[in-house]
This record gives sequence, structure tokens and C-alpha cells, in this order.
Amino acid sequence: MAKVQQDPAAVPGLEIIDLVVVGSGGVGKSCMTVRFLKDEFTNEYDPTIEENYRKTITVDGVQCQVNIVDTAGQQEYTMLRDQHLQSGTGFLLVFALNDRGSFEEVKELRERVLKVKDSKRVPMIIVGNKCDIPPEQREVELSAVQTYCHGLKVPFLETSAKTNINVNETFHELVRECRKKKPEASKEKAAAPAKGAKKEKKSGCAIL
Amino acid sequence: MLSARLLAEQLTLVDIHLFRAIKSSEFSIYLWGRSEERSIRSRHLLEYIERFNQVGFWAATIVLTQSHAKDRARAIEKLVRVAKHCVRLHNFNSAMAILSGLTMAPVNRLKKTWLCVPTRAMAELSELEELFRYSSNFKSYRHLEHTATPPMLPFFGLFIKDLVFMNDGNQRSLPTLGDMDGSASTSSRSGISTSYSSTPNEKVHGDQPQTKPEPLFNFEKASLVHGKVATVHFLQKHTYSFTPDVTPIPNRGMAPTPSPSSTPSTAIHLLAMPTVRAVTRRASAAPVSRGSGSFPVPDGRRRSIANSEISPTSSVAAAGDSTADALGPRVSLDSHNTVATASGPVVTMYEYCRGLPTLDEKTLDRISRELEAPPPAANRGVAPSGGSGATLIVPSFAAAGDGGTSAVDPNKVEYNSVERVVAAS
Repeated sequence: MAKVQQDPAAVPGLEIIDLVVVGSGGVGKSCMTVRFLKDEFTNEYDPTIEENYRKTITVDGVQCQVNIVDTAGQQEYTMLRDQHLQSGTGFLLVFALNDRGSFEEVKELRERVLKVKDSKRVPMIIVGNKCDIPPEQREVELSAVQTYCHGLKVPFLETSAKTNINVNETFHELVRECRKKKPEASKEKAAAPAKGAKKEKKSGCAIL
Repeated sequence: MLSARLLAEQLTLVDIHLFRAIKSSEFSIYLWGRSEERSIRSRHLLEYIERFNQVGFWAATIVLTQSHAKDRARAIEKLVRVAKHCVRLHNFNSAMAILSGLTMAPVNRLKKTWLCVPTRAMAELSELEELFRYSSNFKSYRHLEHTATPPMLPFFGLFIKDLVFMNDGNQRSLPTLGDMDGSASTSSRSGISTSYSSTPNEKVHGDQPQTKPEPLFNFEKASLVHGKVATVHFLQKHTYSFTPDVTPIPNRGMAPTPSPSSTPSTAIHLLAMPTVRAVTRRASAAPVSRGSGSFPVPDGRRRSIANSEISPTSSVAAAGDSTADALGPRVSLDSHNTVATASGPVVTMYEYCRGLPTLDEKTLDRISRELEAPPPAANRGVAPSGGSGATLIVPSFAAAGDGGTSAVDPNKVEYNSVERVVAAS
């Protein structure tokens, strides 16, 4: 269900991809997002400014605008959870390498994403953040994560938002995943009308 | 039927009461406190967040507890109007909550129901959705909030998110001139807790980068965070001019319709009563199942709800012995508005809005799947849910519930879709 939006402010023809960053509290979601979005030369990051949640990047020689929906600070808003997921094309599932519980949460989040998007294959990437921590603090075994991700064919990357390791690579990889998915998505859509597309259904009935 | 305006007003009164209870210090605990500390020392803040969920789940519950698609559509229509009134009252928080309730997957997937929603209500809903759209970082909503005058209840989810990003997105201290090699752009969660929090936070000092010269304090960050918290402080000074409504809620629409074969009920059970015992006692002949709370549960599904858990945060205390229990444990206000009658306590409009009845997500999801499952696919679709009551229920109501509606409604459906096409072109 690749959603290509037309933003009035956008350059015509520019590909727009909505990415959602999810994960349990304290794994460094917001730091990842800010690290990716922030202009390195400004000291102040004001999240209320429109431009501060989007970035134009070039992946494999093709430009695209990436809009980030970050769920940081909204763990308590159970009501908004599905809405966040509905709004995205690609998903960044973040856990912290020093928090075993957060990896378990990622597994649950994955199920939830698939359920909300009503599809078996949704572009996503699993991210183990805080790889800068000393080895003795690691709680999540690398081999377990790799086995899990390999089995599901979901890319996995270790990152450190703090020391800027693999942050840009993560977002670039996810853009690639979204692009891979696109042709499949349109096929799927033709076969079974997507849920949540109220308006489309309505106009469909006019034909009857 | 109670007016949408009154409902919106009373919801708003409850909201502002909770909003005004939040202390500025709670924000610092929320941002920088330990998780076990949060639940105690930022209690009001969490209560207000929970209120958002409550309103949202209530909206979904109201829709899903109607037996007929037409009634569900009318409930949606009504809730859209309530949300519109909330916007008019600048209660953006509850407007957004109702909207989330209506866009929640269990409600969203009710195809037949959505086809019955009048065109005008659909247009109003799209308007609201447009207003609260995520795109461009809530551009339209931010504009609205910026231009609105107090009293106002901002969409708190966005507020909290902004606050978290201001905290996480800006480093606590800035590099000195001799340290501009980029390594200092590290953002840490430690924040500027010392300015707001009264708790000694050793971690803050421990996290400080080991730079030779004294690092510069990032005043921009402090200013951003302070500005945000000050907004809340400012808004808390304002109240609404209307008062709690003490009219007892009329009995109409409280009891569930006795049988599915009866004529389609015209009453919207927007007033699913929170006082379990009052209702059951008075209408002792009415078959309200135990544990189903106070909902006018659609026939045939009564059992499935009875078997399911009522969410722990739900304000419906099924076994509650006192009015206070039934009104929800989380919001503890004095119950001076309770009007006692011979037949038991009757709830006022204000109290109803305070203890909005809700069902938990799982139950809503199951009801939703059962409600509009197409008869041939019903067995296939329901089997995985594995609920003890589920398999029993589906056949009976596939025949009674929506089968009838689809037969009744084709005109309306056609009318709707034609209108939409006209509107779209």
C-alpha cells in the first residue's frame, strides 16, 4: 500500500515517502530522527516547524522527500497508535541493544504493523540502537536478532544515534525497501481493495 | 436525545478540570524522571493523557454497541457533531480523541455502516480529518491553535511530542569555541532538569562531556522548553463559562432493545449508562447480562461482551457497589451532582461525561469483526479469534443484524455515493 502523497509545497514529480519510527520508550527513537533530520549547522531544533520533519535525500541516484512520523513521547496514547501506523509507508522498528524488553516489543510492533496495514509484506527495517555501549552492557544477542530478521527477510542494522553510526544508512535502506515494495503493492491493491480507504469505496459504489 | 452541543460542553468541562490539575513540575518528571517515579509524581499529566484514550474508546464503543448499521451510522453522525462542537469550544483535545475513535480500525472497517452515514456528516468528518492531519507536521492544526483564543484545550498528544523533541533534539550544553569538531552535536536525554526538577539528578552530571573548558549552557533549549510549559500555565488560567449539567439523564435509550426482531430502534444509545446497577435494577426484566457493564449491547453479542474483559481502565465498574465505582476510579471528583431517586442513583450529564463507558480494544475489535462479517465468510473470519462466545454468536446475528439493513438501505446508499461523486467532481 505505498502511499504517494502530493504535497502542495513539494517539487512536482518528487517522490514522497512517509516513514514511521516506532519502538518502546527510551530506545532513542527521537534521537535517531533528529540526528537524521537536523541540519548540522544549527544549534536549535524546533519541532514545531514544518520543515523539521522532512528531508530531501538522494538514494541510488534518485531524489525523494522523506516525511518522518515519529511516535516519541506518545507511548501512553494508545488511541493514536493505529493512526500513526496507518499514516506510514515504511517502518523503522527501533530497539535498544541494552534493553531486551525493547526487542520483544519490536516483535509485537511488527505484528501490529502488518495487521494495521493489512498486508504480509510491509517495508520495514529493524534497528538495534545504542551500539556505542560497552559490550558488557549488551542484553540482546546479535545472533538471535539476525536469525529473527533473516527469517522474516527484514533488514537489520546496528546504529548509534549518539555517535552517528549507520543513521543515514538506515533511512536510505528503508527508502530502498519502500521502492522494492511499490510494484507489489499496486498489484495487491488491485486484487483486494485496501481497508481504510473509505473514499475509494464510496466512489466504487456509484458504479453499482 | 441529548444535544451534541451539551455533550461537547460537558466533555469540555471534565477535560478542563483535569487539564488545570496538571502542575508544571509534572512535565519535568515526565521528561526526565524514572519510570517508577512518573506514575506518582506526574499523576495528573498521565490522567489527562488517559482521558484522551477514554474519550476515543468511548466514541468507538458508542458506535460499536449499536445493533444496526443505520444506528451505528447515526451514532457516527452524532459524534462528528460533538467533535465539531468541541472544535468550536476550542477543545481540540477531545475533538481529536473522538476523531481517533472513529478512525480506529474496528470502526473504520465497518463498510455497511459508513455507507449509511449521510453525505453531510461525511463531509464534516473529512473537514475535521483535514484539520487534524499529520501531513506537514500538523500544519493546519498548528495554525488553528495559534489563532484560537483561550479558553482552549490544545491537542495534548502533539504538545507532549513537541516537548520530547525539544528535549531530545537539542543538546544540553554547547561546545566551546575550541571544541567545534562536531563531536559535541551529541544529543542526550539528560536535558536541563536542574532548572525545573526539584529532584537531584546525578545522572545529568555523570553524562556531561569531559571537555576541558567549561561547556556553554544551551539557553536556546531552555527557552524552547520553558515557552512550551508556560503555554500550558497560561491556558490553565482560563475556564469555560458554562456549568456542570445536573439534569438527570433520561431513561430513554438505556435499556437494550429486547429482541433483534423488533423494529429498528430510532433512539441512539449515546447514553449508554455508566451506572450499572441503577439501570439493571430499575429494568430488572430487561436481560442485561452480568459483566456486560451498562451497555445497551446489541442482541446476540451480549454474550460475547459478557465473556470478555472490561478494560481495567474502563470506567464501567461492572461489579461496582457505589456510584463512585461506576463512574470510574481514575477521576475522583466529588459526587455532589448525583441525584438520588427512589429507584437508585441517577447520573447527571456531567457525571456521564466524566465516567464515559468504554470497552477495551480487543472486545471492540471482536464486535466489529462479528458485526459486519459477510455471512459466507463469517465462519472463516471468526474462527481465528477463538473467543468462547464468538462462534455461537455469529450465525444468529448475521441473519438478524445486518442482513436487514442491507435490504433496507440501497436507496440511501445510492443517494450517498451519487452525492459524493457530485461533490468530488
